[in-house]
Amino acid sequence: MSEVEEVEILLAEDSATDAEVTQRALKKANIGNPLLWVKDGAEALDFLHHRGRYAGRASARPRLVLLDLKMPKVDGIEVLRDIRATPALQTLPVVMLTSSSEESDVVRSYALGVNSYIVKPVESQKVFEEIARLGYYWLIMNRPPS
Amino acid sequence: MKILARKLVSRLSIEDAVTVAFIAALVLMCMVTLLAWYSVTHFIQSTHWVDHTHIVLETVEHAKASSDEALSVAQEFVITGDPTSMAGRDRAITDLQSSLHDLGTLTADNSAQQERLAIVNSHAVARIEFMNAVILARQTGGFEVAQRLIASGQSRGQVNQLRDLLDAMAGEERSLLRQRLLADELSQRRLIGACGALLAVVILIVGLGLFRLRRELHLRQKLADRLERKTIELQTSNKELESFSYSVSHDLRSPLRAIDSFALMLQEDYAAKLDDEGRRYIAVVRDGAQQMGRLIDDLLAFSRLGREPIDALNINPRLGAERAVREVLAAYTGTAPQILVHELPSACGDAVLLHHVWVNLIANAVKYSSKIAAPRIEIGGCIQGSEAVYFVKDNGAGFDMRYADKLFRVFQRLHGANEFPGSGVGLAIVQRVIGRHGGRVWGEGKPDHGAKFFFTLPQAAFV
Repeated sequence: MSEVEEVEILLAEDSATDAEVTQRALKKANIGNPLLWVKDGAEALDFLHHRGRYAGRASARPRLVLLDLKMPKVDGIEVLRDIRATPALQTLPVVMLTSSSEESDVVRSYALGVNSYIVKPVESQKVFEEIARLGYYWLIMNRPPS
Repeated sequence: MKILARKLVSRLSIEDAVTVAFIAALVLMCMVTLLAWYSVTHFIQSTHWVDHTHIVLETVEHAKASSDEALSVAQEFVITGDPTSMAGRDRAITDLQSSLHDLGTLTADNSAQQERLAIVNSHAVARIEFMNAVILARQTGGFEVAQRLIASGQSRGQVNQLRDLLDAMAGEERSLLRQRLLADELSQRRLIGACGALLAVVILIVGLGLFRLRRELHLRQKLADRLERKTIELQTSNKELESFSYSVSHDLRSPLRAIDSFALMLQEDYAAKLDDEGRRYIAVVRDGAQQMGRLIDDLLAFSRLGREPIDALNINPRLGAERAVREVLAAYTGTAPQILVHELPSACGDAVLLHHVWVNLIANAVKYSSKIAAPRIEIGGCIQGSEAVYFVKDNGAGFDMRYADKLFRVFQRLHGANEFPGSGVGLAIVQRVIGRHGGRVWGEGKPDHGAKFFFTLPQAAFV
C-alpha cells in the first residue's frame, strides 16, 4: 500500500460529508498532498502507531494531523493527548478542525498542546476559504520539524 | 402611641432595632442601679435616726434617774443628818445637768423639744434650789424644820412635773421616729415598686429584642436555605443548558454545513445542466442554510453571554466603543457612515462582555441607517447619579415606540428579513449583558427619524 506510506495529511473526521468538503476544498486550492481520511480517533491512533489495520506498515509520520473533536470511540482530545504523550509524535503539527466554538474545548485543546484551533463555519464559501488557507499555511508556508 | 411604637419598631431595620433595644435596656438598668443606690443611702440614714432616738430616750431615762437619785439623797440626809451622803447629792446633780445638756444638743433641730427642755431646765433649777433649802433647813433648824418644809408639798409636785415633762420629750421622740420610719417604709416601697417596674420594662425590651432577633435569624436562615436550593437548581439547569448548547453547536451545525457545502458543490459542478429555476432553487437552499447557521451562532452567543462569569473592572468605554466601531466597519461592505464617538464617562464592567454590547448596538445603527443618503451615528454618555448612561444614536429607519418593549426579546424583529437582515438576537444579547451588570437598557425612536438606544452601567464595583 504505497499510498498509505505517502500520507502527508491525516484527516480524522466522523462525518463523511465534512470529510468530502475538506478534501474538495484542499484540492480546489491546489494542495495535492496525499491525504488519508479515518472515521474515528481509534483508527487515527492505529495509523499513527502502526497497529491494527496499519500494522507492519512503516509509513513516515504525516506532516499534518487534522482532528475533529467529537468522534465515536476515541475523540479528538484523546487522540491529541496520546500524540503529545508519545515521544516520536510529540512535535507533530495537530490542528483541531471542529464545529465546536465552546471556550472549554478551545482551552482544553491548547492545554494539551494543539498547534491551532479552527472553528468550521456553517457557510460553505467560508469553509472552502478557510480550509484553503489552512492547507496553504500548514503545508506550504509552515516549516515543520523533520 | 402603641401603634406608633409598633410602626416605628417594624420600620426600623433589625440592626437599628437591636441597637435601640440594647441602649434602652442599658439606660433603664442604670436607672435601676441609681434607685437602688438611693434606697440603700436612705436606709443607712434611717438606721441613724433610730440610733439617735434611742440615745435621746436613754438620756431622758438617765436624767429621770439622776433627778430621783438627787431627791432620795436629800431625803436620806434629812432623816439621818449624815453629812457623807452629801457627796451622792452633788454627783446626782452633776449627772442631771450633764444629761439635760446632752438632750439640748441631741434635740437642737427640734424647736418643740427645745421649748420643753427649757421648762425642764427651769424645773430642775427650781428643784435643786428647793433641795438646797431643805438641806440648809436640816443643818440649821434640825429634822423637824426640814420635815415641815418637805411636807409643804412643794417637792412632790415638782418631781412629778419634771418626770412628766421628760416623758413627754421621750414620747415626742418616739412618735417622730415612728413617723420617720413610716415615711421611710413608704418611700422604700415606692422605690422597690419603681425598680420592679423598670426591671419589668428591661425584661420586656430584652425579650422583644430577642424575639425579633430570633425571628430575623430564622427568616435569614430560611432565605439562605432557599437561596442554596435555588443555586443548586440553577447550577443543574445551567449544566443542562451547557450540554444542550454544546450539542447545538456541534450536531446542528455539521448537517447545516453539509447542506450548504453540497449545494455549493452542486452549483459549481452542475450549474450548466440546470435551468434558471433549478439554479434559483439551489440559491434558496443555500440562503436558508446560511440563515439558520447565523441564527444558531447568535443563539449560542446569547446563551454563552448569559452564563459566562462577569469579571468587572474599571473600564474606559471610549476605547471599547472605538474598537467596536472598527470591527463593525471592517465587516461592513456598504459605504461607511459618519460615526462620531464623544468623550464617555468611565464605569465598572466586564470589557469582554461589554464588547458584544457595543458591537450589537453599533452594527444595528449601521444596518438601519444604511438606506438613507447621509447616515450619521453618534455615541455619547454622561453620569447620572451613581450610574453612567451611554447611548448609540442613528438617523436611520427608526421604529414605532408602540413596539419598544418587544425590541429586546429573542427573535423579535420590527423589520422584515428582506428589508434588513438579522436574527433578532442582538438586542437580547445587549439586554442580557447589561442586566447582568445591574444596568438598564431602553430605546427611543420614530419611524424614519432614527433610533437612540441607551444603557446604564454602575460606576462602582457591583460584585
